[in-house]
Amino acid sequence: MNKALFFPKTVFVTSSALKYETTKQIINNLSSIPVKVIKESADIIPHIEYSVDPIKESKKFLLLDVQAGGFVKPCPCTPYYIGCNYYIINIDLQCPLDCSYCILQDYLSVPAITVFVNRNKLWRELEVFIKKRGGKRFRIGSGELSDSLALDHITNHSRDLISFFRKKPGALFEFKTKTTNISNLMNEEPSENIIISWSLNTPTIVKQEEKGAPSVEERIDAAAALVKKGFKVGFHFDPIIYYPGWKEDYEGVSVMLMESIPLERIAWISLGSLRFPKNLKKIIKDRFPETKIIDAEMITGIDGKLRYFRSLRSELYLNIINAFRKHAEGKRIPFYFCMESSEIWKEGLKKEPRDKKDVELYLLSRGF
Amino acid sequence: MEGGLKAFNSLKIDSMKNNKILIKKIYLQDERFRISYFFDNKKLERSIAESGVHNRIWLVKREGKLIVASGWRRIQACRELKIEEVPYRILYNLNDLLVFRAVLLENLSIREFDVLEKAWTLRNILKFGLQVQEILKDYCLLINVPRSHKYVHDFVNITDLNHNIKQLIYKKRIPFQIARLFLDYSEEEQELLGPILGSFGINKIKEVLELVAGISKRENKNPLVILKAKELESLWLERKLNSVQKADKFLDFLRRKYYSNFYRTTKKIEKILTELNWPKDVILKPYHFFEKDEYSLEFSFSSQKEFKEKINKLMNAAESQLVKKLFSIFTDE
Repeated sequence: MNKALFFPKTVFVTSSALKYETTKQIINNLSSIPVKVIKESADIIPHIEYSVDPIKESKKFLLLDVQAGGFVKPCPCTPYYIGCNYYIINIDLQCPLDCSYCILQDYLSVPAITVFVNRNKLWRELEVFIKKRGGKRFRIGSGELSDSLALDHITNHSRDLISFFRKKPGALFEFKTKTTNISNLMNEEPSENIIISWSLNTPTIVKQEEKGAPSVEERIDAAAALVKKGFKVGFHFDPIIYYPGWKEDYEGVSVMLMESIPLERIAWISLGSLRFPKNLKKIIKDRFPETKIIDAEMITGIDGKLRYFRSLRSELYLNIINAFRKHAEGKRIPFYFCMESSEIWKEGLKKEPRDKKDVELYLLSRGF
Repeated sequence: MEGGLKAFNSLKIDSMKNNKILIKKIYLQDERFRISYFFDNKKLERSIAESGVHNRIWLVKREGKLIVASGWRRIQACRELKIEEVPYRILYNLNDLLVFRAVLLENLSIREFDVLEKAWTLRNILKFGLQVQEILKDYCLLINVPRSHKYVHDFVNITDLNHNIKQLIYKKRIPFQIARLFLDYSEEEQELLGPILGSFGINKIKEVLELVAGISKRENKNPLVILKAKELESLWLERKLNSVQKADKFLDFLRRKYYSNFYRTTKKIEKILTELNWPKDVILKPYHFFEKDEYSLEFSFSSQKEFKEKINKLMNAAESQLVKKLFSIFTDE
């Protein structure tokens, strides 16, 4: 990462996590950081609850814990809009970056950045999950409730996940990140079913709203380095934000991307405009009083979340799509929408997926 | 705090029984322990008029003067009833913070605080020298305030709001999450908002405050500019409208400004319907915020003839090529 790599102030280890090999490895990787053994995650709460910004404070700590529930889950997506039948692996929770719009501020209530160390359970669960799919292909990723690579220098998750999924050709595995923490990946042999994706935004949004994250250029450079190494990559323009100057800015990013990454190595480019549960608006206002992202014309969508009025969303998407097409020399660009209506799909991409399975089929065809 | 609590536990209260003090002997200008400024004293006055003051007023001595620690409402009621004396007790050996804690516990044992009382409570505690972090630990749970620095600061700032706005918060029982929205507004803006919001219920008050703040941030203008918009000048002077109607029109103005794209789309639909010669008494309802290209119809009829007439009119409209426009309003520019 161009910004300093994340290192916690303290590592908390629950007593039940102590015996795991991953715990020992992580503690070893953080040899200069104080380690405290606690009974349960709630024991961290007194360290953060009286601070000025408990969410920010919680991001200074690392918790090594045991995943008692399931690791593998369907992506929560959102009701009434079209999803993509994606599966997520919750191996880490929370993220050291501090993006103003981040849904995790509202969605998670963990008192620290959490890493689950009982990896054998994860592998077992994945084996069962894959077996149950009966040879059907699927997409799965680790970047939903955390950034897939932000902790990789500490956890080495990428090494183990690649090693596992390389042998599972029916699975299309995606790392999703905003960081440039790719040293581990640079030492791995690529596999066609492993996609490394970056969440991208305009330099204005990165500077104002994505605290602690590398610049767009740095992210695209990291992607280019991995493409050179032989990996396939993906990009997520999500959340696309409406602000004065957005049109030129997003076009600028599209040019930068098209000039740096060959289209045939891009598995997909997702587009999703800013949306969030109503409760998050209060959190954003309290934590980021200077932000202007919540001031555009937002309506309550069918799912109850706030999102831009349809004409604004259409305008955003069409402009970005056209900006890319201008530089694609007639080649097909693998766009898809995240959590959008069939009407938006039709307007933006002239496609009419009936449901998430249609979207899944389309994306699987791009990935393999 | 621990030492303080010890002192608090050995709270010494004057043991004089049934002693009364002339109200004029109490120094009422010192309001350091006061947390209630807005209340309805009618019930209390009736009770005192019938059976006198049951609970003694709590007093403390400061700079040689007796000041009220607890009992402001009782004193107010007595003055209203021209009662000159009240039963009292004096609290000794306690600093301001411990007196205040005793007052809080006494009050909280019989009732919940409203937003404004919580706000003054927190302001007083800060004034008595406690840090926010200590307040979060020792007082927030006690008075039912979320343990957050931001919330404590916002509560305290609520005490600085315009008098009319505080009265509105009290009268309408406006909850904290909405009351704090007033903090985005200057004194002058609050002054303007007060009378308008008086006509609204809590939900509409919230909507107005959010809309004005949202528009002003989006347009990079002070809320005052929005509140004094030219389009509104004639509205405030309109004599035919009462205050409720004016307030509704004001809200409509804000909605049209904030949801400008939504209203533009609505206008487009109206234009299409006019072109279609759409029957006036058949309501065409678009899907929620046009999220889907779906419409529903609503009409009534009281005879087979009327039913047939309306269906025929609709059939005529349905035959027109213009109907297609309803399904491409976002792509036909």
